[in-house]
Amino acid sequence: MIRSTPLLAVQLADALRGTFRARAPASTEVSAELLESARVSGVEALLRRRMPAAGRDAERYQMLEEALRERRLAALFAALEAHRIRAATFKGWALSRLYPPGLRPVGDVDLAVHPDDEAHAQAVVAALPAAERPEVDLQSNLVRYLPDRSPSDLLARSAVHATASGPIRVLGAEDHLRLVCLHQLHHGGWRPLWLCDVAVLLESLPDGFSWAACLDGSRRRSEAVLACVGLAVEWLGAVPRVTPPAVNVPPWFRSAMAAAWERGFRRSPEPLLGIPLRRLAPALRARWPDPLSATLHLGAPLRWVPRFPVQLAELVRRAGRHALRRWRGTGVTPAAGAPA
Amino acid sequence: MSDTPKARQNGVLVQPAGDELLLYDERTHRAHCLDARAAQVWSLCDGQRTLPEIARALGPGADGEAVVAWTLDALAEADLLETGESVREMLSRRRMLRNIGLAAIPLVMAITAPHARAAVSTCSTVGQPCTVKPCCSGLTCSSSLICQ
Repeated sequence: MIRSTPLLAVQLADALRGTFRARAPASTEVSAELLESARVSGVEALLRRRMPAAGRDAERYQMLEEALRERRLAALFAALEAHRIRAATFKGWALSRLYPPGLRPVGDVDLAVHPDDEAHAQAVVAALPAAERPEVDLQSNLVRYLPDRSPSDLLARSAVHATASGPIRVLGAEDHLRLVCLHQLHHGGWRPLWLCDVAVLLESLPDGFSWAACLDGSRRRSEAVLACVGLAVEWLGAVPRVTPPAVNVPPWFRSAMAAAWERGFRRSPEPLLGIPLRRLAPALRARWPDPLSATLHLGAPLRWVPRFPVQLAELVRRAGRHALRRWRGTGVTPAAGAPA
Repeated sequence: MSDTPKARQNGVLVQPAGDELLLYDERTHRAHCLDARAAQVWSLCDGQRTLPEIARALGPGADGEAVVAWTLDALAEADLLETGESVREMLSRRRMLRNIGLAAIPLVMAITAPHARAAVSTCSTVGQPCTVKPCCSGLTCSSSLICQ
């Protein structure tokens, strides 16, 4: 179990254990603090399964959202298909469909397309009737999460899932699991829902799932994927349908994830330029990188190296990148669709 | 209230959930949950049956017309019937309560959306600022720098 980790994370991991399965988990006491933490991090419906007398509004609402999203996604895929655009969705609905209905919020639509099709796909999305248009996060470049996979390969390995509303294409299971693991580390792992996603994916691996294909590519990223898999098994009781390679989760990884759960959502830090002196220290502290994202971004080894130098190096990298942007006068990357 | 109430189907997403019926009004973005009895009344509102006929179709022991009237009122209030006028004109809620008692009332509940932090995303969705992240596809950044 979790040792030397913040209490809230320990409690949350224990309470979420097995809640993602069709069979209702055993009832247990859930504190108001735990429920609030679950509420802001998207696992409220899962946690409420531990509280038989509790309201089920989150579950009901998410059930409706999921049905609505499925219908809109099917319409979107039909429109893309009519324009001969190959696309695949991931996260969001692609994960919520694996849970019992209503247990996971669907969020927006993440859609992978080939870079050559991006503009065309954007036009197709924009042409959908407003009432039927999902909020699409079009991504032609998944390099942030999967730098070792080409868009063509990702799309070629994607699979079609039949739904009552029509076919929907989802990233292949191997790529999806890898992406879901690396995505959570990229964002510092603050959301317990992301580890539940890993658990659910592990328990729904299709026949013929290849761990070799999932772990193909950057060795360090693959180690990070395996650490997430190990944590989902250890904390949430996931039982993978296809046995993964042996994994030993590094102790720092466990503590970092628990600390991230405890801390929760991190707002973007306050700009330093012109900041009052009394707010300088917290603004600097807020910039200190978490060990999970720092390790991923720097491609640092998961073992043998203490995390402090990795975090320091990541801070320098971020500061350098920021300085370079300012020097070039670009500031923040211009937002597509933003007014000139 | 029409003599033959009709359940609104246009722009309403219907999702069965066990005994309950979940409804999402795509026009108002409001969600509702009908318990088993309210769901039964709603599904009997086909625009052909009158209130007494709906009560009869519910079967004996369903507490009769007062219960149906109560349910229709709640459905009308939630804008889930094609005819918007309230059944209150026919029977006041207070009188209905006297007739049927609290325990027998079918429930039409509004569902509150969960307030999870927005999933980390590379684009901003409706109502989010477009200053930090670009708007998602199909949305535009308004002059007030909000994605619409």
